[in-house]
Amino acid sequence: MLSANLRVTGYDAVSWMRLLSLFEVQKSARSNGESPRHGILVLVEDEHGAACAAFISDRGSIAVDDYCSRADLGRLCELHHVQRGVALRIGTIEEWTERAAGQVLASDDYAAQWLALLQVARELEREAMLCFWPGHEGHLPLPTPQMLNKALDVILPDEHALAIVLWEETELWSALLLRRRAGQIDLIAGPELVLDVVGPLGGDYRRDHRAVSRAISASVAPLQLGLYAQRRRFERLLRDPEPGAWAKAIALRDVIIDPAPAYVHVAAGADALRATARKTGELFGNLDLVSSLVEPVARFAREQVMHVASVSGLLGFNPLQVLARKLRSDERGERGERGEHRDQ
Amino acid sequence: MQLGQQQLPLYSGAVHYFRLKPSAWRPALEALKSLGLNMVETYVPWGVHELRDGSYDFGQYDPQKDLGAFLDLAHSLGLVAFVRPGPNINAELTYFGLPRRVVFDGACQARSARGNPLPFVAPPRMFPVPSFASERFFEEVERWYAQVATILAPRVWPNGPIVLVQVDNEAAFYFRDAPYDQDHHPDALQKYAAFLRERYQGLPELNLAHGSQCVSWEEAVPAQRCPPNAPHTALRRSLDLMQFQEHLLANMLERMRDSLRELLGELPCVHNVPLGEAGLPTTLARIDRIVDINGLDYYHKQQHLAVVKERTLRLVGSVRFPYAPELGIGAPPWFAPRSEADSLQTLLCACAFGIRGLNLYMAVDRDRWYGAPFDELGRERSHAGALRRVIKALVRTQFHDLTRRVEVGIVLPKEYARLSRATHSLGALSPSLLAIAGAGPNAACLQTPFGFEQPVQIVWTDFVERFARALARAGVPYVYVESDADEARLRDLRLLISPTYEFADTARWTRLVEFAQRGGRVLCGPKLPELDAALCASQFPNASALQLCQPAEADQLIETLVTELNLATPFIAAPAGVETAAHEDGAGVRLLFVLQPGAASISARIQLPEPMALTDVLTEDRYEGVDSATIPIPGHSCRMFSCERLPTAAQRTRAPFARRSQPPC
Repeated sequence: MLSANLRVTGYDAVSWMRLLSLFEVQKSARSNGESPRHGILVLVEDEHGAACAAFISDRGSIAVDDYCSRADLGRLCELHHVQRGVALRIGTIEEWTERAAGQVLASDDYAAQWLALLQVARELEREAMLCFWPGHEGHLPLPTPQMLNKALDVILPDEHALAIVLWEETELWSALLLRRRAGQIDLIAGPELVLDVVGPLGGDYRRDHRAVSRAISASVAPLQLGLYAQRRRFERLLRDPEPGAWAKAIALRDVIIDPAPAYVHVAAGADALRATARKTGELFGNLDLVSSLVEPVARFAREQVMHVASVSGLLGFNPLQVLARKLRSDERGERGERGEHRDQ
Repeated sequence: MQLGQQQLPLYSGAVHYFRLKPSAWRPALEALKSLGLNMVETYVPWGVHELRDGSYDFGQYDPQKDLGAFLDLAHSLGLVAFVRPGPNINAELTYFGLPRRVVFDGACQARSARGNPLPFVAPPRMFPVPSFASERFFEEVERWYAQVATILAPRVWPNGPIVLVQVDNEAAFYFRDAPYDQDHHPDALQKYAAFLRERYQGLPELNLAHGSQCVSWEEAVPAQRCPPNAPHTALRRSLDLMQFQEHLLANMLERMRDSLRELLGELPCVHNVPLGEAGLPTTLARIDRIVDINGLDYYHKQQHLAVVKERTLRLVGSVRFPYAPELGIGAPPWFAPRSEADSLQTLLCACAFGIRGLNLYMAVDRDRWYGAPFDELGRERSHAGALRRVIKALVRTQFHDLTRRVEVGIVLPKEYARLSRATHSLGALSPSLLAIAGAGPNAACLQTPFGFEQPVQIVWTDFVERFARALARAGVPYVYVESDADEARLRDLRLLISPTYEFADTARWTRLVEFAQRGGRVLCGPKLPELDAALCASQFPNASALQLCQPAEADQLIETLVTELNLATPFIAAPAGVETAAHEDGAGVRLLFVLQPGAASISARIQLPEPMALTDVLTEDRYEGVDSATIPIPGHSCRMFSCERLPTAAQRTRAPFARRSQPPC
């Protein structure tokens, strides 16, 4: 997925930090004095299952005389107020690296290399060499490298570029430009490169987006997807649980997608349909009349876009949904830690 | 550094010629000069210059690879150069800058206990790390050195700009430095057998020490783990492996240094140790004996200024010239994100606690990097101004020649650090990785005491930390001295604090006793040793010369000694937690750093030994005081002040018109 000749360029510290901040968990104000949970408790068991080493990632070694079995892991995590815990049998990491070495180096693709590492970790978990707290019963299935590549084919076909360009008022705030060549992402670039290829901008994303799309297509690669927005709106959308939020933002030109590939139309359409269904259901006292029509309509829409493979279908899960759920649950977790609640 | 009649402070900046268009070289070098830097640093990547057919391109085909032209341009602009030809250069290059051909040559690869190669997870490709024991790898390196020397040798000063050369990079087994990770390469096993033969002389002695039944040296393979309740024989076997890894690293550096010296003459050699040095196999002091300048890399967030302080104090206490070969300005995109303030505050804090030379890495931006003060075309970014002001102040005050008065050393015993590594229980999640993560290098140590009263592998750092905290609270400047540091590192010290448990290195003991016999004070404890570093019974004479103490007594003992030995800095700061670091020359204090490692913005009250004006180097804010000054300081930050002596009341009475500030003292 990443080219061996990958180029990452066009960021200063400010624009890079801004880009990353989009995906950070938002810290809300604390209403009680309790500090948030932090750190990971790591507990190493000897051959008999007794604790022989333990530490918390940001605190160091801790004594765990009262650890009898893995059933105690959760209690210890609560006691030490950590976010997560892992118990593993001594020698697990060595086993992991030994088993994974050959598989990792058999591949010349970074994503495939990581998937190989994760597969072995799953194996070890199945063999009870390690366990986590909280447990993750609903494991996401690990996609194969081929699945990942097919998903990438949909989002960013070969020899194309994808751009997300965000403004703060009239200034370019940050940007993410990806290019795929010979099947792999070979360029990750930031706002400095965008400005270099476009030249001075007017300061209104609703007008500037055309020039940006044109310039990127001419200088970098034909643009498959360009997303332009004010960064606050984009940030809110990333975390917005409401069906229809994206469709509404696109309709109101709060977010401009130019060019918009077919899968975006389908996704936005489905999003709008879901929102409509929900509203209608509420109006008719949960007698969900319209939603019964939604699925056939959505299926029809999908069938019309024959060349668009479903990313969710390929991966076995919807990555955007997972991302949004993750961002929301992390925020809820943060608030829960602090005893805060928000009306849903 | 002395260049002929000229003294050259080591302030440089990194520019990667091979990542910039040749037309951008001049603007990049001029930008570097505009920061006040006199030296350009660049890696020279083997994998970039070697072509697929095994030949080399130094600009014959691709002008961007014209190393000679780049160095000549630097020379013509009045810059000197610091070159780093690897073989490992990292630099976020695929395969750390090595040719794929070499990396995937099985004979060059380090091996695990099961004979597997050891992949390192660096993006954009995980790759098998080379073996520091492989003779094939050394042959390849020598061929590369011979090639690159054709460009470098004619440009060594005074014929060209090159004044420094680095030997390899980040001696940490390519970050596969976990205690039992490697190396089972056939050449490593052979060297391990030779190492044991030299240590034990005979197989009976080896078998007695290891509790083994080897009938040949080849059977004495490296331990794969330290069992939780290992007897001392098994512990010894593990400790021998730890010592062998130190030996392997040192041997690798020595060989590469010798090769470079043969090709480039007696050019001063440098090495840089990465983050997590407390968990790495070898000490800063040992590397400092191999190269002329050994330094630390700094990539920290401003929330972690306490870590910058601790690392710098170790460097200052253990090497001849405290240097930062990579003082990160910006970062690679796959590091924890670093803001402009993170870079600047790290720089100030490292200077505060005593680095005397630095390389801004990067000065000019490049691929797989963000946040340098100049972009790839040499255009200035917003934080270049602050860096320029700091460099200007360092040059103006001749910071490289200033000293920070430190009279207390906390000794870091190598034998305990070795035990911590030997009892690490998390495989490839190595002690150095845990140190970087903030857990500490001994976090994952087995907690069994191995026949001692306490698990020495864990508690020895508690002893160190307690005394360090007590010293900081009392306003006493101190350094960490690695136990294998040269004797000269103890020269200015009056008090040594050194943990001792049931076992200790007899050489360290002798050194402590001699220090006390020369009139120094030594605190040790909590136990008097009876076993040597190899866990064999030994004599530890003259214990009465040392003062045995318990870690719980740290605060009280330090309080007493501060008064008795007059150890405190004259620049005591309040509230608690705020620290100062004064740097002086023969005429007095020239620079004062005030550090607030905590999160809160505060007003710090600084005691002054005499009437002074303190001017912030960055903001030019000025604070005056007769016996104290109150200075606002934001959380997680360090302020750097140039100091100016003001006339005392008596002087003012004598000369009523001399109220204006005196020139800098």
